[in-house]
Amino acid sequence: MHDTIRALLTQSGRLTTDASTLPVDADLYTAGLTSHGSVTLMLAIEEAFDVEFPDHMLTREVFSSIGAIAAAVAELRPIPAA
Amino acid sequence: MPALNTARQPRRPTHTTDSLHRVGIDIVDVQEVRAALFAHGDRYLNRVFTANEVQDCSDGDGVAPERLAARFAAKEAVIKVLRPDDIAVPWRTIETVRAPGGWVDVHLTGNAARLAKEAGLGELCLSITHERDLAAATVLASFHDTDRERPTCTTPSAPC
Repeated sequence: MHDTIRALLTQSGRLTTDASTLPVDADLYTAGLTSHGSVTLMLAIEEAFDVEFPDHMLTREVFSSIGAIAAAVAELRPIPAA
Repeated sequence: MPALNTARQPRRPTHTTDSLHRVGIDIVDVQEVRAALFAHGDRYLNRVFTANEVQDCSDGDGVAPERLAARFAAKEAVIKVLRPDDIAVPWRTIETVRAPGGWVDVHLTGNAARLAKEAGLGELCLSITHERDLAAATVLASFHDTDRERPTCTTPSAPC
């Protein structure tokens, strides 16, 4: 999941640093993610993982790092049937 | 994600230099908005803007990215005034409303309105602008309680 998020960051995040080498816990805003960039990133993540971020998850913290985004996506994805 | 703590104390100024107003500013690259429209279309519009905002930004040629960018800048400038920390403020809870005279006002709902109330903020004054490539917005917010202690000068000769 982390690599997919890195790829989406490269496509949609318009970072000022290379997303492909960003550590999981690196601060994306420090890496150049803008407020509008977080919107397009959110939409791209929703399409890639077939999820929808509810309003209460639209916080700066949720999009602050690759790890935080992955945790949010994991929370939103349905648990596979056993 | 923690739910909104409605019991917490109002976020009023804690320092005399955080005086009677808060100001927020934001700038947006119109090309980013144009690209988001191209990539995500109505999903982008419906997640970020109210129906009235989309209508205000539309003409015979469709929706104008530079107008959307100015409204997005307004939303972010308002968020800077609200200082939400970890509280979610969905973009659609901050609506830019175009007055008949051509200027714009801000209408808050949901958590945005709640944060403004908790902070003791009154009217928000908004100004937006755009060129072909860039859009920007500034928001000035005043605190409600006029009887609150005003900032004082510690140096008698300093202007206050």
